[in-house]
Amino acid sequence: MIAVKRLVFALASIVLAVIAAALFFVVVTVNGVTYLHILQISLLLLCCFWLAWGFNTALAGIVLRSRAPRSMPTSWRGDSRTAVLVPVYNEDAHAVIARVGAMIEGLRKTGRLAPFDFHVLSDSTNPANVEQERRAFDILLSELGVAGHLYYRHREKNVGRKAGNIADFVTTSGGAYDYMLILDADSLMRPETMSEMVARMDADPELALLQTQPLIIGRRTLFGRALQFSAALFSPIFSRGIAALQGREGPFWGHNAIIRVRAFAACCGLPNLKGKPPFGGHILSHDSVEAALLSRAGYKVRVDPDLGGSYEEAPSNLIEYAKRDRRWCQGNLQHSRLVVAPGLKLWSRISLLAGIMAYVASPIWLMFLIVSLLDPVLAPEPNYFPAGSLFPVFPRPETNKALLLLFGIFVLLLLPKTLITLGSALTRRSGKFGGSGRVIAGALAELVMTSILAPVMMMFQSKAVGEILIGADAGWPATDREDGSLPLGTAWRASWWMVLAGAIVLFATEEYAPDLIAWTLPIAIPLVAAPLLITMSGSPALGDWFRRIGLFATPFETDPELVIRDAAVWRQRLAALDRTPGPQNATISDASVVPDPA
Amino acid sequence: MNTANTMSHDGDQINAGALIGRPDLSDDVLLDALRQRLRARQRPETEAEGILAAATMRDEAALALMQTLSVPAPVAHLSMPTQRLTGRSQRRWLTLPAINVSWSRG
Repeated sequence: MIAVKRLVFALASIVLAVIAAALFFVVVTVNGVTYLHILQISLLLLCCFWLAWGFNTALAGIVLRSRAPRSMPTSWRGDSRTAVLVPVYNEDAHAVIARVGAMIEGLRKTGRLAPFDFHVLSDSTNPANVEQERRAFDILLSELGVAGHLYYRHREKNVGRKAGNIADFVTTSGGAYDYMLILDADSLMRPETMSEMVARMDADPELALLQTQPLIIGRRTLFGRALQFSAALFSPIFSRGIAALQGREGPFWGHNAIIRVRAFAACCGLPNLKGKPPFGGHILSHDSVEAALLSRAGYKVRVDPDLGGSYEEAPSNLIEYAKRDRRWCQGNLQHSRLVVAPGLKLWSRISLLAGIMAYVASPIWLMFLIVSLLDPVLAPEPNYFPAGSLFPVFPRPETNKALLLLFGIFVLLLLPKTLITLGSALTRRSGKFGGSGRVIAGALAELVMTSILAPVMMMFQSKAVGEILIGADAGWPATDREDGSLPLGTAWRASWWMVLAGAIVLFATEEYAPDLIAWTLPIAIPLVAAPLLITMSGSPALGDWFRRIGLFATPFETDPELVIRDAAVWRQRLAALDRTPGPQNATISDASVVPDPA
Repeated sequence: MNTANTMSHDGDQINAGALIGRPDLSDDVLLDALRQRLRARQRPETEAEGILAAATMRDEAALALMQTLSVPAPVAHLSMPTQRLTGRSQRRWLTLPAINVSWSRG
């Protein structure tokens, strides 16, 4: 059955892409075919295939409902032991340890702490961060009195980055546990969800990895709150689409997932790839590879979208987002060496390819746009007297087909989100977002914002792909998730080259193809205004204003659950108890870590 | 750490590590952790032995202090054999000249 679903899914994506390419072929070759047209059509075919893939995933989430595993009775008590792993890398220690405190406290309140041990696994390189982590850990341990359930370990050498950090735990302490629940430094989980995950693992010995859908919380800037709203509204449906097609080869997103430790140890020892980074060396995006390896060994890997109460934070501005994207992009492109790894299941290979396509799509769109702008400049003049005809032969107007194509692309882009928005606005789900009006207004505002920022994102991602292809390594910069304001100068240093590109596009279009100027404005204007857009979208004040008018409200903001409230309380408490000043956060203001073409 | 010590009180064999759910820990490890905690609270480290003994006799204050100890994580090694991810088939697949350039780096 799953094979049929996947086949229909893949064929539908191919058919949609081919229809779009065929329409485009008719429209652009009205005056004859050139090599530029062939390139243009090929690029559009790829772009539309990727669009259709996303469209079909969302549609599968809306239409298909995978059967949710039955929840364990609340009286369930297993005897399996679970290590909750919290890898840390130069993050704000108070925030990290506060979240750990909230989860431990929650488990204790529900009487389910006994089978859980928390391990804070630090790979921090900044001595001030390490000191703050130790102090915060010590305060929490002292306050909660949970010796034997809370541990801290710092690695002097962070060999293998996060994957190496986890592997170090598995090889040293893994044998003491049945499962490990891998979190990120910014993860937070409802205690009942943690217990439920253990129960589901106990219930299915073949299940090696169970992933939850983490939703974003705690954002204040406009960008962060839009991201948060979008994730809350759309992600559960998209992950239902992924779940509907996952079979035994579901996804692993690196955190907020529980893993059978012995299966992981036996199957997920990652090799170093030959050659230097970015394509050689440590495997950066290890999660997808680990999921593929577990599937290869015959285990089940599954995402259960019905598991709520799984949270993470996210970058609060475009620069931090682009920094994280750069790292993920390198990791996903590195998978091009692993797609053909021996023995992998076909769906695992397709998932790796989809991960690559998530980043390669941007430069493909960019190339398509460039070729499309070159076309009217380089295209031959229409030949009104072909083959010595005495009477002029006028090209057939293909406006209807062009409009149909445009409409089709808009459908692929907008229909899933529109359906999800309406589905939420017209049902009880809207209540969690502050009512139907706010759901629709929020979705519209998100659409406007993502449309304006899309060219900027496209440029960041295209640059990332370009850098990787010429061999530049991203390194391992920490992600700053704090809601500080972003100075215009910092935004300028990160995006001046976009301003230049936008200005060139505007000038060249006005000079050589003035008829196309209206088409280029939606791309060129955001590029010219990129520094301003980056600063404004990264503004906490603007985010606060949107909050005051009720836009981008999420259920976790309007009515946060206990574990979220507890984490905030613990953060204040740790700050009050730890009087030693913490490390200065340098990631935003330090231009050296800002993506820059230099 | 699997050679856990035991302490004897009134004829009962009590494993001090078990008081914090870690029967695998030896008394020496617990005493080190106790000294560290006492030092942090600016109390004399010499109290450690007495507190450990009091904890095994279910003294509430001593037990509460024991619950704040930072002890080493359990040690139970697992091996992670390195998996085979690249093979001959990969080379056959790498036929796109444009991509070959970047993949042959280093």
